[in-house]
Amino acid sequence: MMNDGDRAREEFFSEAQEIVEGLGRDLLALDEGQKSGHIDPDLIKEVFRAVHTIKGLAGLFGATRMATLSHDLESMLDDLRLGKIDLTPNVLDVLFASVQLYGRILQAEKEGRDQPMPEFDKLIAQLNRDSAQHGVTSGGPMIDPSLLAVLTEFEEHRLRTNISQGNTLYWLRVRFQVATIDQGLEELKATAKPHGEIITYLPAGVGDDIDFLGLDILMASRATSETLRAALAHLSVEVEELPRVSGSAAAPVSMPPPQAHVPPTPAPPPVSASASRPTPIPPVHVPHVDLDLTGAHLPYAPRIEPRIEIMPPGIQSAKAQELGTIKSVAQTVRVDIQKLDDLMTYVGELSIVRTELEQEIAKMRDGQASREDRSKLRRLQRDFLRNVDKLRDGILKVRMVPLSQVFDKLQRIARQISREAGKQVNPVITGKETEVDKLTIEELSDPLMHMMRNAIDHGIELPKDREAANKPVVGTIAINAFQKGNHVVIEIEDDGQGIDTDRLLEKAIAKGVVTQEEARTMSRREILNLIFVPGLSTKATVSEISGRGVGMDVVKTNISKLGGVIDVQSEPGINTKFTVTLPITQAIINALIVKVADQQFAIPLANVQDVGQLDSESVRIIDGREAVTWRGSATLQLCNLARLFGLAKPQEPDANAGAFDAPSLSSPEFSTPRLPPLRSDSLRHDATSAFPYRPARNSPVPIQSSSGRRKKRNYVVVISIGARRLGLVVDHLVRPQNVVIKGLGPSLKNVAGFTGATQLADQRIALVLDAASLIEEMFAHKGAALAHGGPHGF
Amino acid sequence: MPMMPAAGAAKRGKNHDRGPLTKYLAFRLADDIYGAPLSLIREILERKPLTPVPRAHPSIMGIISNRGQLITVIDLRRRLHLAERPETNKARILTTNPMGIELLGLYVDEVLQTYDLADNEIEPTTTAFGGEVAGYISGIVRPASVEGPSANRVGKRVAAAKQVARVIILLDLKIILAT
Amino acid sequence: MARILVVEDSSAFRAFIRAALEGSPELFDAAAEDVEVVEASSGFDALRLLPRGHFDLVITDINMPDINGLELVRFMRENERYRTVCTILISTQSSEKDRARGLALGANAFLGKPFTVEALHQAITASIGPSKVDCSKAQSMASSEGSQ
Repeated sequence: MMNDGDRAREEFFSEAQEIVEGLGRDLLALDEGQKSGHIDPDLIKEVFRAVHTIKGLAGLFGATRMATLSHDLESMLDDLRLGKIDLTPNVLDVLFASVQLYGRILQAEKEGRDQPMPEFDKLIAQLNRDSAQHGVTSGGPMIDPSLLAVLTEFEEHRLRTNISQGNTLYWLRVRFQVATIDQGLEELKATAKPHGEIITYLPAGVGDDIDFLGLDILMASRATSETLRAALAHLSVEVEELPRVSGSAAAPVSMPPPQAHVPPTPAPPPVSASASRPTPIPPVHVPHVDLDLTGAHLPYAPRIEPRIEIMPPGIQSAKAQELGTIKSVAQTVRVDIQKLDDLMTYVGELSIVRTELEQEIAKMRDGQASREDRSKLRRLQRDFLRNVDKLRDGILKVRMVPLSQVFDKLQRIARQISREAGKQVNPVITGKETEVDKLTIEELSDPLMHMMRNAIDHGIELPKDREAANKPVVGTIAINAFQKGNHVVIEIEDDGQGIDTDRLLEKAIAKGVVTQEEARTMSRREILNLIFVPGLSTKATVSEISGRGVGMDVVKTNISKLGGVIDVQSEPGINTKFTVTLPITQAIINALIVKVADQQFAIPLANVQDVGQLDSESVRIIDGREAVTWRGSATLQLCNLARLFGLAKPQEPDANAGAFDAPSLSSPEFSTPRLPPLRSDSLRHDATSAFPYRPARNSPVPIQSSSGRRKKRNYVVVISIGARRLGLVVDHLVRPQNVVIKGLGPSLKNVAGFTGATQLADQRIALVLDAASLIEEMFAHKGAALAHGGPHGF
Repeated sequence: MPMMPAAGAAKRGKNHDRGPLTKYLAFRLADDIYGAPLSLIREILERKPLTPVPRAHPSIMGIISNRGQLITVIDLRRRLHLAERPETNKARILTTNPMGIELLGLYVDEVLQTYDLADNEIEPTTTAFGGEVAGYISGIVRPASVEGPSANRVGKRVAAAKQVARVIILLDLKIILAT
Repeated sequence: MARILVVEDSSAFRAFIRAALEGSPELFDAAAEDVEVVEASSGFDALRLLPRGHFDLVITDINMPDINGLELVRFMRENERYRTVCTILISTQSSEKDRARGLALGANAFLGKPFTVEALHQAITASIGPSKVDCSKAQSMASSEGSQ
């Protein structure tokens, strides 16, 4: 249960996160504008508003650092939007740094950590250095006070700027139906934008018809009134040109004439008691209560000197902190109402099915069921299943968010890293609209960021080296995303120097990952895959940027956790391309339910390569590990789950209870996700009590049944990640089934081998096995290979 | 709706200025009576099928599902190194989230009753035990000094009268669950 | 009965204001269930909600995209229909001009961001006034228009 405070806080994180992300996007656009010399004032306004909102939020929720940063930024942006300072690359740097810092502060707030942030202190100090007072513009053209009265300071500034640039002012008059005003307005904005700048919107008095609204729009444009009229003709906009004003010329910029359908309105009331109100109430100014002790609300307040704090050991090292994260802290997804409407529809249909089912069941109880009723029941069951499927797919859709959420951040980071590294990089992104599950996006953010870092640091060469190699000075990093069946593919490709396979192999031999012998027979692809082995980075020196303790091995592990695979291709001197393939959603997966001892486990089918019976007599011990020759050829290492998990032997020696014959993976039962009818025998109540307490741990389970009466048949489920395979020995196969995965809480985060749990019928829970970590664990010993398994591509 | 014991009825009779009262839930672990602030207990659950998590910490009994939510259940007896008793149908799971991080289930042998306690009725551990005690004990109460339990009883009136403890040990759930 | 329109593009701010208002029905001399807070996320949203909303009080941010808070107040002041509705403007302290203009346009109070619940309550009490003449007037007007 969330209380109001939690909810408001959750809302705070969600909104702050969203604003910060939008801010990043706007900055990228500003950066473009700054380079091309056309800075869109609307963007500056957007950025100012965003920071302004964050400041307000931070003040509300007591996020002091955020408030301080926003306050100082706001002062700078205020000067920027009012034209007191120019948008220089330096200013942009500060803005980009701020966006990153916001992300970190949010992360720290969310986790309730209060740690020193040297980068925060640095940026604040810099902002305060930069905030020298600037001269305030004054004078300029005369503006009708009644118009001035409704302009915000910024709008006034924009108006004056446009006048001083010699642009013509127009009043655009338009009438909208209140219900559809948003669409109408968007269309108008899009049409008008290429011709100039909209300064402000004045809603004109409604007449008797409250469903319509008149708008007077003040616009500044270089275009002639004919051009503007023609452009806006299809939107039935009246265009009226204002007489030109120059300097403090005679004709002031004035209010539009009253709209025809509105009786003339009295002038706005003067400052004192207003005649238009029956009871004069003096305006009150409520003193603002200062909540913040840093002086954040006092412009240019003296700042407390940054304290130097010594980090206690064991707390995050400064380095780890620097590593940063671009994970989002928001736990919410904003949903298109249409998607929810669809869900409601399915629920509605299900309710109807339910009612009819009840009637049918009542008939059966009374013994009046006819043949007709039976076919009706079958129809109801079909309807029911169809709607449950739709509901499931609909809910999955709701969880989907576009990859742009991560890609925008990547673009920002690319800019920053390349500047730090003194390299020139142009990130090119396609397919950012591709959608994946919200959870996947979160877990994907950091691995992608590290890949981006690697591409810039190890891939793209310094400008002088590129020139020497006859390459364009500006390197390209292409990030492409597209959907492929039930998977999303993300490619990160750079046109840099490629991976030096000779050096990689050298290192691998030096570290004992592969033998000289194996090295001779390895294909190029196998060598390239060594990049995913811990500790095999190609750079001898740890660079400022990538040398942050995160190698490709970690990236690979994280991607495997998402049920994904990563592959690498590279041509020396030409390119390096990493390809990540991920299932679209983590929330519902197809899994194979198995039984080990009396406990059920779920193995994600995405990781299952093969299933078969195990003849316990064929198990050999190789290198101290159990293995079998699988399907007559390859050696397969086994992992006896009962022993690994210390589970007691199943009580009954009946090996086939609840099991079906090992299915071939191509059978429709595996390929199409559908729920086979429940088998009563697989859901038998265990004889154990409600709290099966097992003090006996690690009691070894002999491979062969000691009774010797009958050979015990076990099953092997072969799981694979990349080129590694492992045979999980289980007692029974129960059924393939769609399961909804739920994460395990923080209390269990140290337990290896499980990605989560899922609820089966009858309140029972099956733990979902983490194929990646089990393989990791079983291969974790020396050499990571079986005696004659050949080089493993990892 | 959570099945919570109703708030205590108005205090009866001679309320001779005991100061502000806090509600504590008393429960049995092995042979001793323990208490925790009622405000921290979200729900008291009946026994449910429990799925052990292999290779988890020994004090983690496993996970249960409560209305679709998975909850890790902690065996307080093991956490506090107490003797274990065979499970009876009086066993309950208290759900609590004292750290605001995760809703956890606490396995207890039996839930007894609630007590209204004033601050001055709680003896600090130092005076009570005179020496080093575990940090998770926030104080002790001698029920005799309390003006009787609040009117409501949780569950049936067990032989609680017979087993009115000499002391109730108050636990600091935050400290216990933070480890 | 008290009906309040909150115009603000930040949803967290709206949530905060809503909680501050719903938690203190005594400000409006109303029972808790009679305090109705309606949220608008933009000036246009507000214009859409105003005609049939019969609001007693409108709390609006100044800096919003498209229609700013000042324009909204002016629009209300110039319309017979909304002239007597109390208005409170919220904005940052930083813009002295915005504040002065807002009060000049006839807003009943101005509140600097970020503000405390107490400050908001003060502003409401000050703008509604002890007599509540305005709001009761607005209400009687609303009810005299009868059902639409």
